[in-house]
This record gives sequence, structure tokens and C-alpha cells, in this order.
Amino acid sequence: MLRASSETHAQDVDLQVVMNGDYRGDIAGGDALVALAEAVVSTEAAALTEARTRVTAELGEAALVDAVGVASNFQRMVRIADTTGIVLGRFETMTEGLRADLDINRFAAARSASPA
Amino acid sequence: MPMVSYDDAPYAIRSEFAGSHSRFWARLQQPGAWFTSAERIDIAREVRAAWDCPVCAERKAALSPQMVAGEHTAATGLPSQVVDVVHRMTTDAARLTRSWYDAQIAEGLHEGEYVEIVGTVVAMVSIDSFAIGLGLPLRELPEPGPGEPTGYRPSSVEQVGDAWVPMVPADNSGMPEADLWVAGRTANVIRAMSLVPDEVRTLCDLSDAHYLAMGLVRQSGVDAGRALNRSQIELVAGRVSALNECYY
Repeated sequence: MLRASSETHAQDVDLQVVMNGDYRGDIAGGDALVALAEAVVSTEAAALTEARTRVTAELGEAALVDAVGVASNFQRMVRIADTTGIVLGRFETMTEGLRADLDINRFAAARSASPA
Repeated sequence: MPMVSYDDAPYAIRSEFAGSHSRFWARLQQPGAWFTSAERIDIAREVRAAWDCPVCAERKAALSPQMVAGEHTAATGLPSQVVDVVHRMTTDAARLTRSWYDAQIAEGLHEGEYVEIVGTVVAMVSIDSFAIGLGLPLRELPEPGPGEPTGYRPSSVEQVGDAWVPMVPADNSGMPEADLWVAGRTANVIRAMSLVPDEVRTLCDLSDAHYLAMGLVRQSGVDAGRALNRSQIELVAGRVSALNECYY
């Protein structure tokens, strides 16, 4: 969805950022948002404090709240996939080329997620 | 309804967050399909206990989760199998396997119980992550309510290799579960918990507040009036998913 939305908004972003955290693009506050995402997953207090301060300074408090909302949403979604063993559906398999480019399939669960 | 409030936050927080979290708290106060309210709240307590459990930490750090044995630091009197399932789902979900799931069912956990545990774990992870992410204390869990589990199981489920767990068919038209998604137009991650339909309803409710309404997810230009535009939203979503080693 990052690829589709950045194309819709005519924004450039190196999609490898999702895998390596190295943000390159012109999404406003992109680097700060990546740091916040990483801090939410790590739950490290110092990293969270620093990331909150940065996102607030660059994008404002409402953006901070929404960013934490999105991050916490995907803490949930990944666990639904992992705990139920769902396979990729028709929509997700349409991204096969991108998945290969980003090496998403290296994740251990990818083996069991591929459609039979 | 037990209210979750964020009035103590140093930021203005959209009311949708407290609303959806309050509705989940209200669900916890009622029996589910497979667990009583008290049991469901105990599952929620175990989610919180898992983060500080030494066995979970050691297992997470190990090359293989099978290399680490030992008793979890449990916060409740739930059966040890349930405690183990909750702790693993919370702290090391990416390394769960089909054979592990099959073993849980063989050891006596009903597949409906398993899915209801999934629903409670993932909602709690999300709600607690929100508080932690904003530097707020975890919200106090509700008191348990009365009643026995309903034992409800959708009249039509299928297990055709799309998941470890049985799911309501994608074409859900004419079923009591027709409200869960538009018939024939859904994703497996939405169907995944449909063996316990209320877990899908909670999923949609929380997603609506935290991310986007399910019907908008595939519309890449939609921002839904958030303070972040869609590219910013998906940047956060993508990085969190990859850090969790999500293949989906």
C-alpha cells in the first residue's frame, strides 16, 4: 500500500525503507515516522520519548497520535496473520514482484503463507 | 459500558480511540463464545504479563523457540496450556508453526477457544501499544461480568488450506456473518478470526479508529481525514510490519 499511496500522492520513497529503516524520499516527516514506528515495536522508553518529540516537532501532536494509532494497529494485524497461519490471498499475490524485490519472503513464515 | 479514557494524555486524542477501546472493554465484561468474562480478562492480564516473562524473553532470543523450556511467569490461574499460547502469541508470534497449532488442538484446546484467544491477544497488544507509544499508563482492565460462554459457531465454516483455523467462507451472503465483509470481497487477514465472529467485529472497530475503515483500505488515495496523509500512514504500517517479520 505504501507504493500505491506514494504513487497516488506523487511522492517519491525508496520502498526498501520498510525492510532496512533507511528512509529516502519526500514524504513529510518520513524519517521521524520511521523512527517512531521502530520505537513502538521496541517499546524502549528513551527511543519512544525521542521519537515522540521529533514527530511532534515536525508534524504536530495530532499526527503523533495518529502515527502511534497506526503503529499499534499493525502490532495487531501481524499477529493475526502469524497466529492463524493464513496464506496470501488474490490481492496480496498481485504484489509478488514487489515482495521479491524487498525480500519479504525471507521471513520464516513466508514458506507456509504461499498459496498451495 | 466501562469507559476507557485518555483525558490524562498531554495530547488531544481523537475520541474514536477511547470509543473503540471502551467497546472492547465492554466485550471483555461479557462472556465470549468460548470463555467467560473472567477468563477473557485473565487472558488480557496474561498478555501484559508476557512482556515481562523471563521464559518468553529467553525463548525470543533463542535461535529456535524449541530450545527453551520452563514455566512462564503467569499472572492468573488460567490452565498452563492457555498461558503458554497467550505468551507465545504475544511475544514470539512470527515463529509459530502449523505443527505447533495442531499440537495445541491435539492437547485439548478447541479451535474456537484458540481463535478467541487470538482475538483477545491481538486487541490487547494493539490497545496497550497505543498507550505505551504515547507514554501513557496502561488502562485499567474492567471487572468481569456474569454469564456463561455461548458456544456459538457459525453455521458454515470451511478449512480449505487458506489458514490453520477454520473460517467463514468468503461468500458470506445470507449468513448471520454477512455483516463481517462484503460477500466475496475480503482478505484472509479479515476472515482469519471469523470462527468467532465477534473477534472480526472488534477487528473492524479497532481498525476504523487506529488505521482506516476496512472498506477504505484498498483505496490508496484515501486519507480518511487523518492528521497523516496516506503515504505517511503506510510508511508507519510498512515499517512496523517488517520489524515484526510479517510475510503478509
